[in-house]
Amino acid sequence: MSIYSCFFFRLVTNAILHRLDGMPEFTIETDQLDYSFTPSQKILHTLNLRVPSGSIYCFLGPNGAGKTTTLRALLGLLKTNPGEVSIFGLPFLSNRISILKRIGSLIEQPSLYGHLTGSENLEVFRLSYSSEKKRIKEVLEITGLYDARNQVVRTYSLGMKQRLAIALALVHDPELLILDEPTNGLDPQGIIETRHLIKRLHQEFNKTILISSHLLSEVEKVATHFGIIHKGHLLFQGTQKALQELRSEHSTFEIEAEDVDRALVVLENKFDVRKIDDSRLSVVRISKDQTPELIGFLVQQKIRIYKAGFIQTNLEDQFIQIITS
Amino acid sequence: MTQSFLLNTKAEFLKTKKTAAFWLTVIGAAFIPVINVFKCVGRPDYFIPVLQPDPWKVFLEYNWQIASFFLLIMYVILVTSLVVQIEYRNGTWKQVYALPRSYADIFFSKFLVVHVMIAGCFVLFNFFIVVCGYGTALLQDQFQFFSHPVPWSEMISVSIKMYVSVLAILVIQYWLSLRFGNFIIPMGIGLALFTFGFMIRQWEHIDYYPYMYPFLVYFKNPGLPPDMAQKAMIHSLVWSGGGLGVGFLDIANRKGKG
Repeated sequence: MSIYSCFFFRLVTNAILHRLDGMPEFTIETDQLDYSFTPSQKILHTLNLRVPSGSIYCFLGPNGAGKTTTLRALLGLLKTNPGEVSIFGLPFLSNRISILKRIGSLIEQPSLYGHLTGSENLEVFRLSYSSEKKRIKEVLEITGLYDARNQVVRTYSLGMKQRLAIALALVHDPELLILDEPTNGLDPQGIIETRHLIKRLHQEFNKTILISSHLLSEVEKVATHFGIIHKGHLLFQGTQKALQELRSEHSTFEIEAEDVDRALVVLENKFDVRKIDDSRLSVVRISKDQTPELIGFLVQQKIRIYKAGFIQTNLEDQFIQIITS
Repeated sequence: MTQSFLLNTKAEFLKTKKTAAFWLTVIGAAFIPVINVFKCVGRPDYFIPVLQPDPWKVFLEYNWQIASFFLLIMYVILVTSLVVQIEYRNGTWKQVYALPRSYADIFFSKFLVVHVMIAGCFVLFNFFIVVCGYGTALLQDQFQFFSHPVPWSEMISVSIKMYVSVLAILVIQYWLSLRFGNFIIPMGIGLALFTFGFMIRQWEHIDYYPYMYPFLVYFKNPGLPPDMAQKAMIHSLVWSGGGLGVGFLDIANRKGKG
């Protein structure tokens, strides 16, 4: 390959990787990211994370799966090898400071100075980011903490601390937010508030958000993309739709009917159907859209149906199924 | 770069607001002079004749003897640990390292805060010595503080020497405090090294042992070479320069941060 064709190839590749507005297709990319605390104990196994720009990417996994380790590696809190982590299309290690200027983060529990007020905490971070003073008022308003700004942080509730930690992450108006379990330890009201805040940050302020959680029912409602990690391996990565398709592949539709043997004959050519017992059938790899058709066949044959429905339909069951299969 | 360092140092100062480190500096500086007021006023029969020829000189000695013997070293050990502990106690180290700050900026801005606190303690200590000297004379008018000039040049000279003498301890304690999240470990190591130093203070190479420098610089050391104080100050500067370099490289190259 000549030097010109090489150059042309790189131009085309860059054009594919970058959108017209200058944003890379993926805000975060890891390339075969490995990490181990001791040589014998590997925590992350060749992780290829791809967080699309403009997405809310939910990084799911049970406790100890490697979520926090991954996020710490992304922020440079753990030593990685050159080329393993790229953010905004730039290698992290050689652009650490310029990249961190564009990221807001919350890692594990909120990192706040308990002896200072909410405003003073924000001032500490504002100085480090060299942001404008007016940002303090703005982020206090966004997170609903303006009235509590002069209160000492140690007197804040956990929900308020969590919101202040998000306010700290927003003080420099970053393009990317990395939030590690932001709903951890919150009561249902706090979880709802945080979820609304995350949605708002995405919709109104166009932030790309990487959020980790083991509270699957919560992230399911806000995510556009998912990554599922278990024991340091990335088991799934894709859009919400792709996950739904995967879910339908693994979910089971159960029917309780009058004449199970006849129902089996009616359905077996069209669906993957099995007899459970004398009164029940199960249908696998069926999507929600196909169920009216299935019921229609049985009704046409005048088979009486007592009960029909999906089992294991929530993401949590799906997730457990994925990580245990 | 310089502006960002200054802003970050300002942020580091803000973190010390209302902390134990701040109050320790203020109260610690006042402690010995105030006790000396009680001492002199409580036994005027003994102290008026003793302080008669040159009250400021004697009063200055009363204060610096206690400080250089034990309390100054204790203060340096404590304040260094307390400033670094602000991050450990609040679990904020990870957030500090996730800021767009170079490792040198993080290391040296906090070090500068500890430095300024110690320097501030020296200034306050001298201030309280003067205030307490005059206070003693107000409480008991036979003390002649008002009729003698304050020995400013001697006070500044002693303060500078003592400041140089604690630099090595400061750097070692700073590194230990960054290294260990548990407050007790750097404190315990510091106290153990000081106690050990006190036990071997007659060693002919004691000028290589940082935890005895304040002692060597302030007191006359019978049985030791006459230039011991000078050597101790030079070695303190060497220790602090070397310690800062080694400490920074160690912290910057740690596998996990925060």
